[in-house]
Amino acid sequence: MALVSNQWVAEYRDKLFANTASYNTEIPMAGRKEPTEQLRRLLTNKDGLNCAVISDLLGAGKTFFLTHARIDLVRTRQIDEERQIVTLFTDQVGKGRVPDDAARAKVLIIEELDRKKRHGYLLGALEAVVQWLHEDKKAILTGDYWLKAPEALKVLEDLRVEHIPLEPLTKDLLLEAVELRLGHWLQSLGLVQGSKKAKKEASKVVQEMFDPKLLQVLVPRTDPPVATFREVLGLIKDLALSLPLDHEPCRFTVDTFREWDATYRRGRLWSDEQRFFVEALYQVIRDRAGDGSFWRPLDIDEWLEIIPEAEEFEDDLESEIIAPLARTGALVPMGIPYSDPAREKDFRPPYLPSVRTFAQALLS
Amino acid sequence: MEWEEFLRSEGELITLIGALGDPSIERAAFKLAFAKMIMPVLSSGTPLPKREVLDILEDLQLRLSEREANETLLQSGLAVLGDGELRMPERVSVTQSFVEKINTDALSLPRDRFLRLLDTRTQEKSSEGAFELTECAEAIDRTAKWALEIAAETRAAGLPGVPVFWNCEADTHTPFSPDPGTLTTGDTLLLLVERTRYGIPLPKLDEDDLWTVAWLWRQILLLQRHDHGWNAGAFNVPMFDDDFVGAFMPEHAQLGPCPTVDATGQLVLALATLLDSSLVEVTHIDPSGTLEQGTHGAIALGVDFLLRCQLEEGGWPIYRYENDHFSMPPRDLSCRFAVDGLSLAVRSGILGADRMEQVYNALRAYLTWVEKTARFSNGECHWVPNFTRPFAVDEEKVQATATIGLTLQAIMAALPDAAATIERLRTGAYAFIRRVWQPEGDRYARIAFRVPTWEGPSGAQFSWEIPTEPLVVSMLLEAESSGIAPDEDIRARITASIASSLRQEEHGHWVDFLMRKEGKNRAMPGNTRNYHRALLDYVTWQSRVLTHYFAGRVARMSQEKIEGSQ
Repeated sequence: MALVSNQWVAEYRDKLFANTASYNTEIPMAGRKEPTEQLRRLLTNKDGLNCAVISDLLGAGKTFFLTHARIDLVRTRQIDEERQIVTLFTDQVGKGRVPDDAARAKVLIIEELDRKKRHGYLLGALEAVVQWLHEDKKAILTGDYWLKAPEALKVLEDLRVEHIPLEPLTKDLLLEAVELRLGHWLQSLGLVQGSKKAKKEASKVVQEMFDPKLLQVLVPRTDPPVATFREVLGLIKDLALSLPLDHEPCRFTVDTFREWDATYRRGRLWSDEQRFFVEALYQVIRDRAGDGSFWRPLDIDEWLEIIPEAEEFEDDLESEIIAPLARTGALVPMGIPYSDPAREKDFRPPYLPSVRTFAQALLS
Repeated sequence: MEWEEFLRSEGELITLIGALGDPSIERAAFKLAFAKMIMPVLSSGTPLPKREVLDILEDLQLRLSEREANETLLQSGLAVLGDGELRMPERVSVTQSFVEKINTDALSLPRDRFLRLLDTRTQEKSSEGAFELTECAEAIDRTAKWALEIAAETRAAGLPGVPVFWNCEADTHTPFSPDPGTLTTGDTLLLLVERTRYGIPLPKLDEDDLWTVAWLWRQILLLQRHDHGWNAGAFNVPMFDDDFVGAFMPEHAQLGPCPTVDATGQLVLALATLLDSSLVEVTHIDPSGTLEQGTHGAIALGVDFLLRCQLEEGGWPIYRYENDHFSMPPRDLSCRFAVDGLSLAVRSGILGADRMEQVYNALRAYLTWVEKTARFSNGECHWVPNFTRPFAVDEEKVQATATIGLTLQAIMAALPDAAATIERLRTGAYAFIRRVWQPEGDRYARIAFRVPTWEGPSGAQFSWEIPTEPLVVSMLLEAESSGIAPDEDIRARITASIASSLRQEEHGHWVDFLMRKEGKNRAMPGNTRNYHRALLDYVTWQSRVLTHYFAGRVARMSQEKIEGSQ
């Protein structure tokens, strides 16, 4: 009977692969060494910077990073997070002013500066931060690609800003994260005594836990990376539903994916046109799978190039097919969101296929 | 929340109606979301807001294009054409919305009535205050029954403490995971015995129940740490503690989880409440008196741990490291657990004179801290979360003020000589709550904190979602018992809040908020205890009102009799 069996992983999937705020778990942070150092330099005033920007896809782990990355400073009393740090959301500063009470803070974190909020609010929030910042204060701004919009950068142009990129999710980083979680829970649940032993066990298990073919699609070759911790861990958590309930060593295989996909897959309700497009996209993904090249985000005309059959939808391709598919998570918009109030809710090209789309194309 | 979850959370009936005759269940989800989220806030004739429509499509991850969404609204009558654009309708034909191709004009409804039909919260509000006092009593009884059920399950599973989350399916409850929580174990005992502090007799206990309660009692005593030094007397489960995720470090497994003020204060309170509850006197639960004797010692040791953890300034952090090796901020919630435990312990009569004096001094120091951190303005006073946070929204201030207000009530009972200070603070807090608080039913405060570990505060922040409503109700009613009488408006708000609490209760328990939003029905003893306490406060208040009424009547009758005889 394996220690980390299929049944065990299925039973503890919520803990092992926790990826939402509704489930608390003490998860070790994988990677992020350079970004942690950047944040540390900002907070300890090493570089004379007064603002950091973390702009990445939803689910990349920005909030998680911010909480973890400052823990050493908290433990060594270099920062009193209770009295010196204030975290606000865009709505709380969107009217162009940081609330008076927050003026006492030394570090202001503004979260969720992303396209879900109105563009005017977002700009108002940035202007509020600029007004609030003084010599001895710091600001940290987190959000999606909206923070890369020219209008946003313009508001921040007079600040000493550092962009902190979170390194992309790679196969190695994913395996490191899963290994850390496994080691943690093997000990926490009393299955292995001693941290060294647990790490060793986790390290051994994780090597065999994923069929390489599956792993390949969990972190697809895209530039920039489309895989995020939230999406990939969420997918693995879902796949655990389809593990056989036996005591064999846990292994996520192509069959695991197929079974899960057949049972739980969404998208059966797509329109005929959307289905046609998706099937064609699957074929392109399959055709390109062997050439080792990276997928890069595609503009609308580039989608037409790789799926010429979609020519007949040309006028409606974006509004009827691509944008709805992005809403369902089949495609991921990688463009900087529109600032035009009439279009600010529209997704902006270019687009990449999502992790689930890659997986469905290559494995189902 | 994706569309399938949204439909599940909205109930099968509405889903079924929405799906009837419709080409796609996704369209039904869209229409329902539109009717619930957009129609109530826009008046008839207003142009359809593109952004909000797209928000629904995006939030529910629907595959509809904007054009299809608009067509769906138009076909269903949830939007109409006017001046060349889609607008909000004046009337809604229910059958047209959901059962296309059926044309029954007789079933069309004015917009407001249609919204009331769909909006469960509106329905609830329409019956505000419409409940009997016996419903509160029945809920209190059901809670005791549920606590017995989960304690018995825990015992049968051989766990050292009660699990934190319980799956509620039909009327059976199973642990979401076998991970116990120290605080939750104390909550479970309180759900059984706390009622006696309010003059309500113990629940009916048969032989099996008594075994279960005796097991729970013994188990709590076993949770106390008997190692020497700083942590002696603290309570914690000997393994992973689901109430404080991260406190148990696998690499320090032999030490168990790092203890907390919160759990220790709660277990001291639970044990002191049990001793005070007449359980020992009216049952044969502890024939040899061993448990009772052990409890005296456990309370004393627990009190010592709490005293050690108090910061110089007077507040309590979640845990104070020896020699303040790591700095831990005072927390309002930790203070509540510490003060509740100490206040009842000091009144239990089982602490020696020296300890009593130490506890009085600790409570006085806390009161000084509370006074120092109160923010006064225009006759009001409030606190921010953890006393010193630079910024807080009103919701957070309400939660902190209600939590600290409850500690004032506990101190009042232990330190009558501090009455003047406490009354000043409570009057201010009452005025603040009166201005800011409105009952909303499902309102909660998110409490994020770093759990103590053996290597310092945890890397991740742990969060609890605490229901604000019952805290506020308890604070207002407990202040009332000491002479701050609620006016008619506050009485109405309290009643509305209790009505809402009763509607959320199921099998004697209340569920976790965030999980409910994800479509999971997970009951929590922790949240349940707050609602239970509010019900106890409410029932006691009503009883005082009746007593006062009849006492007045008797006095009037006596007066009339005297006057008549003259």
